[in-house]
Amino acid sequence: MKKTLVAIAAIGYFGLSVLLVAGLWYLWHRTDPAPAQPIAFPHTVHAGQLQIPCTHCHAYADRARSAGAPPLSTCMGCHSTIATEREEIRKLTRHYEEKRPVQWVRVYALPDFIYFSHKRHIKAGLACATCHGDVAGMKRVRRVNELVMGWCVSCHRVRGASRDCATCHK
Amino acid sequence: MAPPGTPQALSPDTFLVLRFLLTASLLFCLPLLGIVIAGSAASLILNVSGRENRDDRSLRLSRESIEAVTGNRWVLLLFGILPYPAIVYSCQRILGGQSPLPAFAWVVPFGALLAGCLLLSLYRSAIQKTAELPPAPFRAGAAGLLAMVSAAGLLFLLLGALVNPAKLPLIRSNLVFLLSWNSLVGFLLFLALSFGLTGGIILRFLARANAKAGGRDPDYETRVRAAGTTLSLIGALAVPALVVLDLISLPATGMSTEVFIMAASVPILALAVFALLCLLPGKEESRPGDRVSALFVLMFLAVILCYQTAVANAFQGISAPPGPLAAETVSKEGKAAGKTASGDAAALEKGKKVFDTVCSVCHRFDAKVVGPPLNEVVPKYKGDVAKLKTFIGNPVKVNPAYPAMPKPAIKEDEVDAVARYLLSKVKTGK
Repeated sequence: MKKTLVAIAAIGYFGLSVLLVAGLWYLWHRTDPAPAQPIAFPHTVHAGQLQIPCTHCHAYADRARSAGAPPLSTCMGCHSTIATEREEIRKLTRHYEEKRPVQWVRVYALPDFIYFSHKRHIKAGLACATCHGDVAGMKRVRRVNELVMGWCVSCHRVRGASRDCATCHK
Repeated sequence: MAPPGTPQALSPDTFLVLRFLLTASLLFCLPLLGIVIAGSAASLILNVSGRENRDDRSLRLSRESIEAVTGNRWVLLLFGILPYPAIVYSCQRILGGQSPLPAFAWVVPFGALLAGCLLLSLYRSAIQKTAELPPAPFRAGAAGLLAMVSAAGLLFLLLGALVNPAKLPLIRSNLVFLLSWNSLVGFLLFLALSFGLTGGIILRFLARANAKAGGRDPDYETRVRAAGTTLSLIGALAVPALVVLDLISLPATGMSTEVFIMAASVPILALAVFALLCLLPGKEESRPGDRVSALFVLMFLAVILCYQTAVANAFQGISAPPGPLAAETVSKEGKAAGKTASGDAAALEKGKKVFDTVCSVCHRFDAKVVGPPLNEVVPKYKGDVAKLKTFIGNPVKVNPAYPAMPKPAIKEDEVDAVARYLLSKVKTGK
């Protein structure tokens, strides 16, 4: 009897920890750092091989809060003539012709109560890769930094930027 | 200028080799270091209790424990200490950059490791002469244990930096940033596994106790079984909770499905240990030492593989060769220079800016990208700005080997600036 109880307790304890691991996996999976995108856009080709500067497509990075995803017309500027036979480009062309925006899956997101400006950070001389990693080497874009307060504040501290609450929580 | 603190790019192949070097060295180093720590801790505790209770069997087990864990000093040296330089080397290369972690951060744990080995071997030779130790060698043993534990703790702090490369710039400015919950949990997990493994090794003494000349010593067997089972059970029960805490404290960028699968295998192995020790029938007669040790070695393997996968995930974004950073940097430097330039230079600077942001998408001066190399096509205009402006403003297909150039979305004055910039650049051959 005692042995059965011990066995049940043990299986409960070890089983619970396996379940917790599975639960943590589920939580992590919901915010996958490298989500699949509707069109498999290869940064390795555009930013890597062709060395197109980031701001060519993310045109607002140095002049607005949001870096912006490029309009389809930017893509079609080249892809109306280049690599038109590829499946992903065909998908892109269909979106363009049907005037249907591509629903890119967000990789980095900040909560509503955070004020963040790309422009400020670029003006301060930060390179895109400091926060976003080497996107040029990523086949599928991957979140390389969790945008948590400790991370922001540590960097502000090291670089002597403002640590006033109202800087980010306006 | 590379962004400060960004790890220097390693080629994926080098990174892979370094990762495997790190894994292999950790696999040799950590279990041995763990056995030495847990074995000497058990020996010291047994020695104290044996002296207080006038219990010869505890003293005998105390001596046998320290003999077993520091038994072959060549094995200890070869697998416990020699892999340390390999760990340092691979960590420093992976961390990379102009200023990897300062050398003293690595020398201090290594010094502690050597000092610990030395003090423990003093303790060992003293206990071999007499089981009732005078205070001095006992203190040497305790100090040795402390040194070993600190060495392992420091090593875990440094290893923790690898799963959170985002903190590297901060760590370089202030070593206090090395402190992290993940390192602490990792260290505790290491201790739990070490105690479990040492428990398994002590359980192996049962066989030796039985084989002793003069027949069995049931009291000694009981003592061995109690000590071994306690240590293994502490390990087996602590490990699952620590694995869960480890996953909670691991930065999300280090995670992947493989990490979770390997982590989930650890509580299952721990359950097997628990079953072997407490649930399976006939435990009084069985000698589960080998199986318990093997299961703990497997757990060590799973945890170390889990760690190295997390390192690979964390560095996924920053291990590949840098891409357009160079182009951005050039344009930034150009901008800075432009502030001091005047007149013509300012106009050329504007042209360069347009070129960097618009034209460089498809054109290089010396290489074919999407469009032809500019060093080949621009000279055809023989310095005629108007003609080049007409083409840039309204491009037509010239060479059938290239796709037609789309009309760029730039203003009239920008067309003028970029045409002048191109002609100046190709003419002077800069």
